Amino acid sequence: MEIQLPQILFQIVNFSVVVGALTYLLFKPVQKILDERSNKIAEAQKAAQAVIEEKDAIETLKKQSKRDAEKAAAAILDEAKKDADVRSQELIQKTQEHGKAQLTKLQAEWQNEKKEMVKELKAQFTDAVIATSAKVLGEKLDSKAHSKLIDQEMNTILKAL
Amino acid sequence: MSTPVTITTAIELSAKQLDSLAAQLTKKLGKIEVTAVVDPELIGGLKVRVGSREYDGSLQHKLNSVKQQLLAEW
Repeated sequence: MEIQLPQILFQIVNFSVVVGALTYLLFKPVQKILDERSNKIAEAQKAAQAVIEEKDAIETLKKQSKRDAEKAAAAILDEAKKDADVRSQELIQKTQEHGKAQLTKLQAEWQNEKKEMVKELKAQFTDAVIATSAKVLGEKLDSKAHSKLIDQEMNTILKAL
Repeated sequence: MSTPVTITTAIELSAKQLDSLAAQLTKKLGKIEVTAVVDPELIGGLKVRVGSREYDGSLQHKLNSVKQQLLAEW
C-alpha cells in the first residue's frame, strides 16, 4: 500500500477543520459554561466561607458576652454578699449596743431603786430607834429627872435669850 | 407692857417650879406674862416661846436632831 500524501493532507485539513469547528462551536462554549460554573462555585464557596467566618465570629462574640455576663454577675453577687455581710455586722453591732445601753439603764435604775430602798430602810430604822428611845425615856424619867432636865435646858435657853 | 411667854413642858409643873422659871425669865426679859402648857410629846425638858421666837430644849427636839444626824451620816 502506498502512502497518499494528498489524502493525508486532506485528512489533516479535514481534522483541523473539525477540531477548529469543535473548538469554536463546542469547546469554547463548554469551556465558558464550565468557567461560569467554576466561578459560581467559587463565589458560592466564598460566600459559604464568609458565612462560616461570620458564624465563627458570632460564636466567639457569644462566648465572650457569656463570659462577660458571668463575670459581671459574679461581681454583682460578690458585691451583694459583701453588702449583706456589712449590714449584718452593723445590725449585730447596733443590737449589741442597744442591749448594752438597756443593760446600763436597767443597772442604773436598779442602783437608784436600791439606794432609795436603803434610804427608806434607814429612815424606818431611825424612826424605830427614836420612837423606842422616846418611849424608854418617857417611862424612865421620874419627876426628879424631869426637874433636873428642865433646869438644865432653862439655863441654856436663858443664855440664848 | 408685859412680854407674853409660853412655857411648855412634858409634865405639869408645880407652882414652885413655875415661879422659879418665871423669876429667871423676868430677870432676863423684864415684865412678862407667863402661860404654862403641858405637852407629853416633848418627853422631857421644855420649850419657851417669847413673843414670836421659840427656844426648844425638849427631849423630843434633841431626839429629832439625832435622827437627822443619823440619816445625814448614813
